[in-house]
Amino acid sequence: MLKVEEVSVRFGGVQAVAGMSLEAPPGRVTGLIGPNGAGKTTLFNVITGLQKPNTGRVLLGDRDLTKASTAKRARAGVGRTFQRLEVFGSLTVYDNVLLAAELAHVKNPSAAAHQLLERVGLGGFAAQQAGVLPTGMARLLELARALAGNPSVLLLDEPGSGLTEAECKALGDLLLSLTADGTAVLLVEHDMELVMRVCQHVYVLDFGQLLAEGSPAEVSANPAVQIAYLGAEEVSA
Amino acid sequence: MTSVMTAALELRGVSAGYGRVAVLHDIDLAVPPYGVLALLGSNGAGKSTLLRVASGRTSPSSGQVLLRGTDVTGRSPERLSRTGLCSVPEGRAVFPNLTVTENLRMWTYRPGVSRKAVEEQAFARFPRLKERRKQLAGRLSGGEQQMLAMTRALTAEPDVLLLDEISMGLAPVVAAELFGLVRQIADDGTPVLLVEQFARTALEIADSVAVMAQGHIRVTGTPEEVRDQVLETYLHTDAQPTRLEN
Amino acid sequence: MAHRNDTPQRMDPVSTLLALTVTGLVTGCIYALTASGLVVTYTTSGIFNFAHGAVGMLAAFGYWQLLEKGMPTLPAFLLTVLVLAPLLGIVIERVLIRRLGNATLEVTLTVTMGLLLLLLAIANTVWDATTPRVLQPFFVGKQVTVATVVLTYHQLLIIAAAITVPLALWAFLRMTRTGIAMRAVVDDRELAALAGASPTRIGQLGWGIGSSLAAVAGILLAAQVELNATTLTLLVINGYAAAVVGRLTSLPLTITGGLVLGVLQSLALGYVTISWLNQVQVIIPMLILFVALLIAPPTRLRVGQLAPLVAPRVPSSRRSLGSTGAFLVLAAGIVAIIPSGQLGNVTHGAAVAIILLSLVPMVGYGGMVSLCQLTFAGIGAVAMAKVGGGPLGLVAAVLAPAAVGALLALPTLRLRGLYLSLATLAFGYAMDNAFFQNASVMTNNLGLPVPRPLGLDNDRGYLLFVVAVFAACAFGVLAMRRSTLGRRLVALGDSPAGCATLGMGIHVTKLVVFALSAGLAGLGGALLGGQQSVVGQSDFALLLSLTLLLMAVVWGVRTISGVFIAALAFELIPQLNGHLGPVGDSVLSLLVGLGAVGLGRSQNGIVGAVLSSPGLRRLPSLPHPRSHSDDVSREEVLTGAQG
Repeated sequence: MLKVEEVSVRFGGVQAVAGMSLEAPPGRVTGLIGPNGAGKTTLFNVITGLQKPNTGRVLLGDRDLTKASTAKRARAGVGRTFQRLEVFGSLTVYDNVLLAAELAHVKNPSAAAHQLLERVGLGGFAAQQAGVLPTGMARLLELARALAGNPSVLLLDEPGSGLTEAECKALGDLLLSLTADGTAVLLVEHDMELVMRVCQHVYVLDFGQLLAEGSPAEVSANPAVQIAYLGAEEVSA
Repeated sequence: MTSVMTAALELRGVSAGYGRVAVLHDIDLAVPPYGVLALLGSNGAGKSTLLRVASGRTSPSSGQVLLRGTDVTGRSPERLSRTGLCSVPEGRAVFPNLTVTENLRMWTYRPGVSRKAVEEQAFARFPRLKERRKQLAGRLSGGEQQMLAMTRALTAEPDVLLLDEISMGLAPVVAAELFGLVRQIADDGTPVLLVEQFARTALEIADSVAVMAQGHIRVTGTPEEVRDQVLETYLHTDAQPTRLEN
Repeated sequence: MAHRNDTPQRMDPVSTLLALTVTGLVTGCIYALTASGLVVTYTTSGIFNFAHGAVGMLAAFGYWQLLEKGMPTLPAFLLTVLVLAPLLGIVIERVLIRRLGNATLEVTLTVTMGLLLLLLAIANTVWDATTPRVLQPFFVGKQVTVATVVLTYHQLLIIAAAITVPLALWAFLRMTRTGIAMRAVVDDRELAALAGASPTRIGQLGWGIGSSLAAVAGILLAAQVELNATTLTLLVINGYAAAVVGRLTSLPLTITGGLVLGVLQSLALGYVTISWLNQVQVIIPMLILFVALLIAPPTRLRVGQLAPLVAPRVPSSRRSLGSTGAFLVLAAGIVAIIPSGQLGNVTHGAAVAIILLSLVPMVGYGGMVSLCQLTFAGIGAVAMAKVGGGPLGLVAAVLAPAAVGALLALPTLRLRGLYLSLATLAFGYAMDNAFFQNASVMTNNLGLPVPRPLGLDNDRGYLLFVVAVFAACAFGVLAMRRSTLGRRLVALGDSPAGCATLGMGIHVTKLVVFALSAGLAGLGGALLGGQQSVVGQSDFALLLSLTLLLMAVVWGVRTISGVFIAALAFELIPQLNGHLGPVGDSVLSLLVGLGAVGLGRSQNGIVGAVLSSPGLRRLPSLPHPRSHSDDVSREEVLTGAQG
């Protein structure tokens, strides 16, 4: 289980994340929502070691990963996708996933890569150069690449943006099948329909702090959440 | 100003995008000469692109941009700014590695705006900025940075003010203060185009509203007229019961 | 470098120390001046100007010419520094830099290096390099004695300039609105435009000021050292080290770096004697640069960086085997009919092709721009010369540079982009001066005799051998590209953050590629030596390294065919030069410079552009249009590739 404890990040005078804690247990899609600039991506960067937190810890099981390098965390089972894409643009779609499988020392990386591409629906584009894919397909490619490492925790940063409705539905099915296999999924997503459908537990972040948590229904009925998303009821001018 | 009816800023049949990808489709939008027009819409609806076109940072592939009735299509952002269009972009619209005073100095490019006047107005309005005038802007709190950014709108007396998600990442109290300021600027006679994700707050201070989706203006009207549609777009309030069975 | 004011011989230790320190400070002042200019252009335009020294050099020549025409000192100086040099900077910005936009590092480096060669060629054409010229110092003959140290007025002027210029710059950047706007553009270009400041005009101003500072430094330096185009251009590399001390952004640190460098060089010159190293001071910039790079905090992995452009396709193993075979058959046919008189040139070209091939994995696949490839080639040649022409000699020609490459990789493992390139440049510069000019390495000033490998004394047979080695190496490079190592390498160039989140340790990959590329260059160098039978320092000069890299990038450093054509062009253009008369010398540089300008449009080089043209790409068309997104930068990058 992934645990984030009291993580804070400051950029200059701006508090991006303030004492945030959360848990992502295996077999569950955990949602992380909040308005733009709430600190979701920063939190992902802290969990994957791309951003050093000012305070707080990141634990995977009973292992403290706070000081581990990004690569070490990946080998420990933390996989992720990026909101601003990080596909290997000069490689083909197939080579992107193949490399990920090779790095994870999968037994038959080639077969695994083909299988994963089929699974995310990119089977027909294996030979295409990744850098020229449309955003939505590149997101699916990042997903396949992250899955190649058989992660125990999978962090997805807005995987649904840029997908068509049908692709988004397929993505939801895929996420649910992953949790059925025991993967812990942490999902940042703006598409509330997707969040409502796949998440069993949702954390709401606002200006770097936990605003609310609970089931999707509880959270969306929460007045504080509505204010965060829609703004204050009254304006004191 | 030519006539009372001339829009402060008008987009006529504007389409725009990045390369072959169209983001805006044939947009018609007029910012009235008085009051606040709120532009709402979910992520990726094209609001930011619309503001980029209006401020000269992106050229439209077709259509016209008119400032006070004058065609300014294709004019550079710096020229537009000097002519009287004030645009506060998304995020922190200050220079983090300049001091507060130096930031204020950057707000003096509009002809007729003096360094002294900017400083006086800024410090009178926000005494906290005066206390920190020698600090780097990047060291200020989020709210203070946004105040510093807003002083440009206060002092430039622009023909039109474009605000892009100024409340992003701010505590509600601070955001409310900012919106109060926006309302006041509008009441003092500056027309405002406000892009917001805090829909409800925006509806409170807006005189008129336009809702965008998929690169089109879907709805325009008074805040009362569009309120229900906006809420639906944001939280899927109608979709909850059926979706929770999983 | 040989300073005119040599250390006084009969002095007590304290006076000697004092004299050396002051001399060093004076030189350091010049470094500080030139580095300040570099920092100003870098921060305002985001482009590291390799031609900075060349601008200063050209200004020094221009100033000398004005004096020759009879213009008095002060007007000539002011005209050069305040009018001509800024004008040159503004023209450069207008013609070259503005087009670069979001170009990749290899392209921006190439363009300014092309400019360097171009300016150097212009200077050498206008002012014949074989004629010695003297640029008189200011206030000739006037001097003061402070304590025991004698200071000429010229030196005092240098110190005064080094104090006033940064102060004036500081005041300009803090007190004036234009100066503040220059810093604002660095912070946020778009916001500056929205506020009403024109980033384009400010970029132009940055280049104007930078060139002016280069001119001041160039003129002061020329009177201090010698008025020689190459010397003046290359001395600025010391300034690079100073600028790196300031992380290319901080003026105070940059100036400190320049002063420390000057003093250390002077002290080394006075006190340190290493029997095998007659030029201790030339390795000091390299040491300072490495130390500065190493003690600096590690750069974070950048998230959300620009996506690469359309890459040329990698041929399958069957196809590359086929084309290798076809190439060999064709080459054998051509080798058989080449006139004996041309065999030397063609063999030379084939060996150069192998050296250029070594750039493909490093620069083309991995995006690591190495500026010292000929250094590795030279080490290969020296290794074979020392071990002999047997199979063992060939092995040594590969392993020795490979080991050096790995050693160079170790301290640079954390570095990326420009800093990595600067480290290779510093290494090449130091080796150029300390190793290839070293008597104990090169035997005597006639050069080092290099044997033909495997006793291939027949010229035609040797050519066939070199061509076959090229073909085999090219096949190997492609095979490497199709292997895990190749995928790792390309992935590393595309997205270090993506690599890290997949659990890839980047150090091993980098180390292997450095060694591989250096080994390949070494092999090419040894074969080159075998063709020439003697090698000297000029064969592996740093400037030649830059020219080669430029040719490769212009023709396409991501493809085998690109570097092969680059090698052909490299051999052919000097041949043409012979028929073009006195301006001919500059033709190579001119063409390379023009090619570099064209790079802004097709960043895979000429061959890459042809290979990825629509007619040659048969790929399934994408099913649905890109979704609407406000994610601007990525969209712009992708369209840049297609537009």
